[in-house]
Amino acid sequence: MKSSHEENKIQRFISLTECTPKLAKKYLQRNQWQIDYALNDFYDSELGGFVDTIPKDVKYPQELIDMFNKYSPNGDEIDIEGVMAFITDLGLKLEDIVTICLAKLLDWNKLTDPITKDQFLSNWYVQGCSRIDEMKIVMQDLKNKLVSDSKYLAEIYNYTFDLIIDDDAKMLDLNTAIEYWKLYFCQDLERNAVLKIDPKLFADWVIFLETENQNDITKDCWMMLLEFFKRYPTVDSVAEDYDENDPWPYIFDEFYEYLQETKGI
Amino acid sequence: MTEMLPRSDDLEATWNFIEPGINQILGHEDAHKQTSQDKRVDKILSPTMYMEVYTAIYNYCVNKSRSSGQFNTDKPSNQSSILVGSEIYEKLKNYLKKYLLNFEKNPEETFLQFYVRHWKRYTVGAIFLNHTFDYMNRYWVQKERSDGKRHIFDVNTLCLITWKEVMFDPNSELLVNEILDQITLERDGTAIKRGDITTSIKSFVMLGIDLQDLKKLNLNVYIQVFEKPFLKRTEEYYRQYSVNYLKTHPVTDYIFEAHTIINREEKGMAMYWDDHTKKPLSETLNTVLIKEHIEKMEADFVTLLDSRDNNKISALYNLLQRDFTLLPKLATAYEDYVRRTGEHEVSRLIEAHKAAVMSSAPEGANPKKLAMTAMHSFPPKEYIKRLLVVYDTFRVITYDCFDNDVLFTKALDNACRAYINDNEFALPPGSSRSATSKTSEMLAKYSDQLLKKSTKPEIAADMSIDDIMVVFKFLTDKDVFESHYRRLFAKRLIHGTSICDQDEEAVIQRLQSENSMEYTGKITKMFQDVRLSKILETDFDMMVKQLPDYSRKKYPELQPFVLAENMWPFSFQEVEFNIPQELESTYTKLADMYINKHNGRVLKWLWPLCRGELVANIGKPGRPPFHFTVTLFQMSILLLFNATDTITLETIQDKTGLSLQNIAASMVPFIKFKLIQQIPTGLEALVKPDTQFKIAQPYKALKTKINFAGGVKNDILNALQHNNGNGSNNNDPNNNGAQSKNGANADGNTMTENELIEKELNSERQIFLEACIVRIMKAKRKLPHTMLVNECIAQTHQRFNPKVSMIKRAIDGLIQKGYLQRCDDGESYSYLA
Repeated sequence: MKSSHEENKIQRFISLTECTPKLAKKYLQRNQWQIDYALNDFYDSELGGFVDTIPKDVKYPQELIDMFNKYSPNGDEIDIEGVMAFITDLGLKLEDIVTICLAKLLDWNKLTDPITKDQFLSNWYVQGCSRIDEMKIVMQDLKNKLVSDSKYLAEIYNYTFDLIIDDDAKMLDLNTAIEYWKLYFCQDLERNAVLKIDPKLFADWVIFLETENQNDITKDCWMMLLEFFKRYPTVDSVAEDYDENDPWPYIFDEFYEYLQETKGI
Repeated sequence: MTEMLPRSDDLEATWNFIEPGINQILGHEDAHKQTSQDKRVDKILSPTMYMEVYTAIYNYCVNKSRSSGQFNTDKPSNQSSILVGSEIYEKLKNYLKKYLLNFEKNPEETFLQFYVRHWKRYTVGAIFLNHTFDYMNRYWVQKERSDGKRHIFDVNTLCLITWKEVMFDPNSELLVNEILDQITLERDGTAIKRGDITTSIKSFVMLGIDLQDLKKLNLNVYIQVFEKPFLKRTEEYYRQYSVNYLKTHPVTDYIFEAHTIINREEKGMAMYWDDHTKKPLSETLNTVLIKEHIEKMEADFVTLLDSRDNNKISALYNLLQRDFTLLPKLATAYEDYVRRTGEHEVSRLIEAHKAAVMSSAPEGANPKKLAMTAMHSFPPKEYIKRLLVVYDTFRVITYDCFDNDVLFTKALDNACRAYINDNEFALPPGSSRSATSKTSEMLAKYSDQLLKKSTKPEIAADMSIDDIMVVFKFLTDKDVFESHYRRLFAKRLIHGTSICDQDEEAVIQRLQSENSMEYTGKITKMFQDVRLSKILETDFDMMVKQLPDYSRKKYPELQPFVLAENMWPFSFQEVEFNIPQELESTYTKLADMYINKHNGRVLKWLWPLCRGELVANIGKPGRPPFHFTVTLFQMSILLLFNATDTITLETIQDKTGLSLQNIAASMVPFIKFKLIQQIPTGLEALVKPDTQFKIAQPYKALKTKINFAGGVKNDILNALQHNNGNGSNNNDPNNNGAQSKNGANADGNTMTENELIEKELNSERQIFLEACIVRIMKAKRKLPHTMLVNECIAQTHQRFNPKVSMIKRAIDGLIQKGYLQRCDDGESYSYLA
């Protein structure tokens, strides 16, 4: 027994979301038939599914396909040179964090892997981009997001480890790790709203790893380092608050000891 | 007699009749002034008078009752009117008041004496009076009270209440002050009349009458009037006293004095007060005598312990245990003291030992090196014994002085654990944080001394398994002990130097019951290996003797050891070696026999551990042949000289297949004992291919039995068995690197061995911890960090005390290996199947 009033709302909901009547009813019901709340709920819950389900028979814009062909000599995938050219055209450099955002956006597994046609087309299609200037805007947005959205930063940061590690390796070579850490922890601090690290602390961290011959960085260490710096952004904060009984990886305990021994904290 | 009695319905007549009797019963004020004769007259009169008075009262009550109603009426309300007594009760009440007011104090007596004198007489009288009025008490009084008239009492109570009103209430302060003054006098040591005090204080209790329920004892009067001022006076008195006493006496004397005081107050003077006072008095005494001087006594505690005077220590404990809140601090001080004593004793032993080493050293020896030597030669027996002496001393003190109080036994345990594991020798200052206590190693050596055959059996005379177990109980690094113990045990087994199997077994048994089956697993297996090897030896001997081509020459006597892999502290390493022809057939036959018996098992031969005995007939003609104890490698070299007198190094290498290092190490003792002459001489030439070696013919040595194997400066483990023995076993392959460093000096070797043990130990601990974490996480699935760490420590402490850093590293390792992952809450881990 649906009242015509409810029926009406279901119709409006469907017109906005293009979902099934059943789903529309479900969301409306659990939001007391308040259409605004129901819409919010719907988008919050169903958004993930949305992006993934690109219809198989989608027609990509010709502009986008042309762009892919521009970078892909064989028409199947963009090889490393094409990638470099693409990055340059976007106004980026390989050693930019934004490039890692790009890699994430395009679902790169490894930095050295080529980009397949499907990867390129579908991901940009989802972003609604088909021209380089549109893509540039997206990249600029992501760049801003990096310094304002700490969740996004963590996502990109954690993704980095898998992106840059050698194929079969389980641990990351120290030098590579340091290069990439520099990107995250030595950037322009003024602009960064979510990560403010004392450069001295980071420098100490690097010196510590080098003097103690910690040549391999585990994923756990990589991931926890961001948490560590968030929690203790300065040498002083480490000195005051660090607790070896907290579940930090052991390497941070060693770092703490190192700071105690060398800096007298 | 009846005619003499008054009319039962005449109140005045009745009262007049009984009043003299009452007077008689209560006693006259001037009774004490009468002569003894008069007194007797009174007494003689009493029974008759008593009967008459009783009857008069009875008659009065009964008569009135009868005349005013019937007993058998059913209406309860009527009963009150038929029971009579109120008039005579009033008369009695007034009489008592007057009677008491008449008392006069003699000028020469104190109020206390006056009070007590009358009280004694009066209370006796009151009881008699009570009996006299028995009928009234039983009927009229009871009726009145049950009707709710609470101001009517039985006669005895009436007497007491009247006494309280007239005698006591107005004078209580004066009276109590006099009592307290008397008590103070007694405390000061003056003899007093204790009876007066006892009686007067008892009277306070008796005067505590609950108007609602006469049967209920009520201490209100006693507490208000006496106890409170008494406690206050006591407190003031002893506060002053103890302060003064301490000004002129040492604290130790004070402790005994306090005991004396408390004893006097609680035992000697206990008869004065009611039981109720016991507790508050104890508390008052505790406060004034103990708590207020606790700092001084605590400060004196160490002095007392230093004196080892059990009487004094126990006196202090007994004093302080009166207030249990004072004990934890004392126990902590005790723990601290025991620990420091233990540490100090070890340091003293080190000093003494160093001094001994120094004085026996030649002039001008490097003092640093001597100190090192001293530490290396530190005698295990003295060390362990010293640890035990401290333990025993304080165990006795804990028992004798602290009554085995839980707090103190715990303190002792903690202290022992501390000094036994951590002292100047066990963890020298500057040791790394991960260093393990040397006590474990020393205890293993101690056990070795006890269990090994020795040329000086008297050394082991005062050593015992119990000693081992006491120290073992306190070890934190039990796994280190196991590791060292196993090494030494292996040597004893292989060398056949155990005193007896029973003793060995006894120790293993004790270790097992103290710790776990798992703990002694390897040791037990080793024991078993040796037994099985003995059987193999016999079997093999029987087998070869039945061979058609048997001869002693072809099959020399053999003592084989087949040892299980990983159980023994020996490592297998591939060694270049050609077995000498003389041993070839033995070697193949034994291998065949063993493989046949145990299909599928793999034998690995530990050539460097083999030893043998050679008979060499190279002395002067007519002299008995020499017996050489040699390593297998030495044997293979010496056997070459059967064919020729002089051999080049190259040939030796060629024939034996040994490495240069092994040849050199084997050769050194020969050259040293002049069995073989090296041409040209010198260490450098020793390893040149064309260097020649010539055997001494005839060999001039004084002894016929010569041990060359001992001189081989290889790893200590290489010094192994006699009689062409073959050992086969294997251990952790990690050890290979260290073992191949042959020929270093002995000192260097022990260091290497220790490092090796430590390395092995650390990896074992890491594995143990990882296994432990996986076990826990498998059961719990998800666990916060702290709980995991605690659980881990709890499961591990039987073996060693894991440092949190070690546990963390194990967790890191498991995360890396994908067994665990961090949860989003930032403090928990979850288990990944």
